[in-house]
Amino acid sequence: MSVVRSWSRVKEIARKINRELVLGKSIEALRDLRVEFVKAYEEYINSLPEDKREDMFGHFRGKLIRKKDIPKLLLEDDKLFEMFVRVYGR
Amino acid sequence: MPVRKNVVIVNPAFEPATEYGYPYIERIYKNIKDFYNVGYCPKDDAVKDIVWSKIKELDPLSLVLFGHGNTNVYTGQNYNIIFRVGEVPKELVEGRIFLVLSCLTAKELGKHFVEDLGAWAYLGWEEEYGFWVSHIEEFLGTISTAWSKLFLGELPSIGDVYDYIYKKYTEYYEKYKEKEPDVAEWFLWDRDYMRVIGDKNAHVVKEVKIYHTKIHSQHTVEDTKISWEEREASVKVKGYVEVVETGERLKDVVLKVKVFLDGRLDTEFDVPVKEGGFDFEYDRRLDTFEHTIQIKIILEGFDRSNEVVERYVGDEHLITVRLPLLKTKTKIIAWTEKVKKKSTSMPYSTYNIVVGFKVVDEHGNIINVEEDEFTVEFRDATGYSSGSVKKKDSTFSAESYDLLIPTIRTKPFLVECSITYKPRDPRYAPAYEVLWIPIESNVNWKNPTVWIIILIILLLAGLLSTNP
Repeated sequence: MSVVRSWSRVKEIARKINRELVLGKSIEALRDLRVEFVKAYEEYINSLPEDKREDMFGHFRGKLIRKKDIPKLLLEDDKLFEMFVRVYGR
Repeated sequence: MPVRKNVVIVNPAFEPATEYGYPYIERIYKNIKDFYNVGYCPKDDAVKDIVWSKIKELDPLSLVLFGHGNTNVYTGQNYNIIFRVGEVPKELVEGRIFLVLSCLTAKELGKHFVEDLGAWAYLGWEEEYGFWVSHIEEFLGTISTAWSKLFLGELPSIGDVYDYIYKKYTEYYEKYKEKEPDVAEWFLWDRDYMRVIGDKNAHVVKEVKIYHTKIHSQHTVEDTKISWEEREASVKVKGYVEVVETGERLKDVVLKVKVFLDGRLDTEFDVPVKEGGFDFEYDRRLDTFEHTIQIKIILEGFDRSNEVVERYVGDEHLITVRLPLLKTKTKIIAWTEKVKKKSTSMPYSTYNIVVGFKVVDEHGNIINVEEDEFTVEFRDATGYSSGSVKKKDSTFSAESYDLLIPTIRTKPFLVECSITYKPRDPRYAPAYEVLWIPIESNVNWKNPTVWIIILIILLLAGLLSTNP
């Protein structure tokens, strides 16, 4: 799948989750969408050239994360999941 | 009243995220340290006690804070809490500008600083500040540049800093939105959650005026011959520094003077510029040979600032003085007297050469000198050898020892004869002359016998190579 197409899928699901969160749903209640989001994000990462998957993400509240490790962490870390959904689901 | 020229910079580095950010904050420090008194708190100094005491000591107008944070807290090295809502005395914050690269602090801490503690302005982020390492120059480099520009007066206010980062991050979003949309989205996120709380017109430098300088000078040279061997040279320089834009004469600055003698640094010293300009003197005892004195006058750039920074761009000015030879110039006139073949053998024959020479002054008058003031060397097919010098009235002759010259010469062989005069009398300058003495070719190509001999040699060589 192309970068653009796989990315639009990530955004679409992120927006759905974001809307639900704004409406007051809990993260636990959005488990299926969360898994869907993570899969879409994984597909997006796989559509990138190999070297881009090794890129690192950092922020000044937590640790540095390798891009290809992000999908797995999105399932485990609620705060990270919420942050990524907010950034990508705008 | 916080001091405009004083800045406190807090720059922790203790885990990957801060270690990646550290050089960008250090870059701000390096960019501004010549123009500000910076209370720099890097790494282990990025802790509450040190930062608070720096603020109390310097009373800085502005603070650059970098590190991990949350809505109500800003931390330094190893998450040491430097500021937390409700725990900061007003005097540490009031009237100051805060530039805070951290997550979420604009949400509560920034507001608290401005609304409750009277900070002049606070630039920070209301949400997480995220970055990608592969684009760190664009993420953090942009912030480093923008904040440096605020201190250097290139961006006048904190509002301009905000606009600069906003514009750059928008450009980067556009640049990467097709190829790396996940990275591009973070530029938008960071852009949209950047906040300026308080006065957007808050400024560190009100205005920077650039002035160019020009050094003007006049000089006089006194070159006194003390003896044939020694002179006293003195260069007196006076001048002034003009401010090009205003035509005024600059005062209360210090010039650096570097004096080069024959291309090498001889001395350097500082010269103050006073009301009427500057003056200095360079005195040197030298020998009576030719010399070149170069005097480089340097004014380094500097700032004069209070509300308005006046930046003076420096200038360099070069004076060149040439000191002439103070001895009588001399010249060697040489000629070939005799070329004699002594013996013939293969591959070299021996020759004996006699040259004659005399030393004259610049008017052509013969100078009376002695044999031991000369060195004569001949060069034959094998190298150099010295010749013996004899005095004959007012002229000299130099005879070579046995010179080895190739016996078969298809073209003239040139024997080099160099004569060096090193005067004992200090009135005279040394002299050097080279004479080329040809030993003519001895192969006549028009003679058929030569060709017959060559043919025989070639035949013999051929026979030898086929019948070993």
